[in-house]
Amino acid sequence: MMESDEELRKLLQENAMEKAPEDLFLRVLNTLESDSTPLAEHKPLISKKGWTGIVLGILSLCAMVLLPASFFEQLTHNPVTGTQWFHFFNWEGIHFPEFSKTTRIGIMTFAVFGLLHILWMKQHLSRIYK
Amino acid sequence: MENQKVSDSDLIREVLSGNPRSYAALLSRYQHMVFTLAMRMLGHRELAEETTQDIFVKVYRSLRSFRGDSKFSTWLYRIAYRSILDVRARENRKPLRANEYSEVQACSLTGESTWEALMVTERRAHILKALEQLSPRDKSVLSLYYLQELSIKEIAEVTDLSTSVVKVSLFRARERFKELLESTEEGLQLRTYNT
Repeated sequence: MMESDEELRKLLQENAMEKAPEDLFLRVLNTLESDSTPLAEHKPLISKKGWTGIVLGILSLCAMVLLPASFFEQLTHNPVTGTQWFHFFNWEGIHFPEFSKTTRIGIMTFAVFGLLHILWMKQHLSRIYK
Repeated sequence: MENQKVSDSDLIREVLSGNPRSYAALLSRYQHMVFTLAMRMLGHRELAEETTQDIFVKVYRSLRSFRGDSKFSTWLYRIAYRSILDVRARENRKPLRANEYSEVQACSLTGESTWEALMVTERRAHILKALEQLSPRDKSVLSLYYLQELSIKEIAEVTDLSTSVVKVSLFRARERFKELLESTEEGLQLRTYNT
């Protein structure tokens, strides 16, 4: 009976459209007027500070893994490259482990996956929020 | 008519800049569409009225979170669709077909009781009955596409489905609806001949 999409559209629009009750308009406006709650402000799920922390955390993790242990040891022993506050802590007591190549790749993958996961979570949560 | 000249985004800007009365224009522009969606998905007038009211209150309160990434109508339908699904899950009641029927019948009795009016009323009842028999997803996709006139992409945004799933659902819903309609129309014609 219906040959085209347009016919179906016409049929549905003529028969399946509804008219909202006349008082609905006033009911909504009355509800809004009686409620003085201010319009909700949009707040990002992760603030700028939060993003900075995440990025710094991942960068330091990458640096720990990518840079050789000797770099950090040199940094703490050399008074030219190491700043004063660097010596405030007992860096000499800290032993920087030398990671194997496989471990480095593993930790890097973990860090990248973590970052991607955070991005995905943010998108997912903001979709739910929307 | 005058409201149609002002774009949705202008009206939203006015509401956000402290003129809540502009929301009335948005409300009058979309109230019938949202109510139709609620009616088609819930199948219960009273529930659809309550839900539509709640949707517009919710939309007003979260108007600041509308970032203009999509059209306002898409954003509105997305909220409406989610809210209607929540109501469906909460109420967990089956669509009350009898409710619509009694209303349709009442219209035919109180209005012009001509043969044509009766036929139109009965035809509408058959179309609504066929729509009611569709699955919730098919019903909503059909309603969003043909009644709200949303594109496939917009329906995908509203329903959180992929465009290919929307296309398949739409095709299936269309075929099923035609099938149901044809079977009920046969019934209608038979009844017409008998009387």
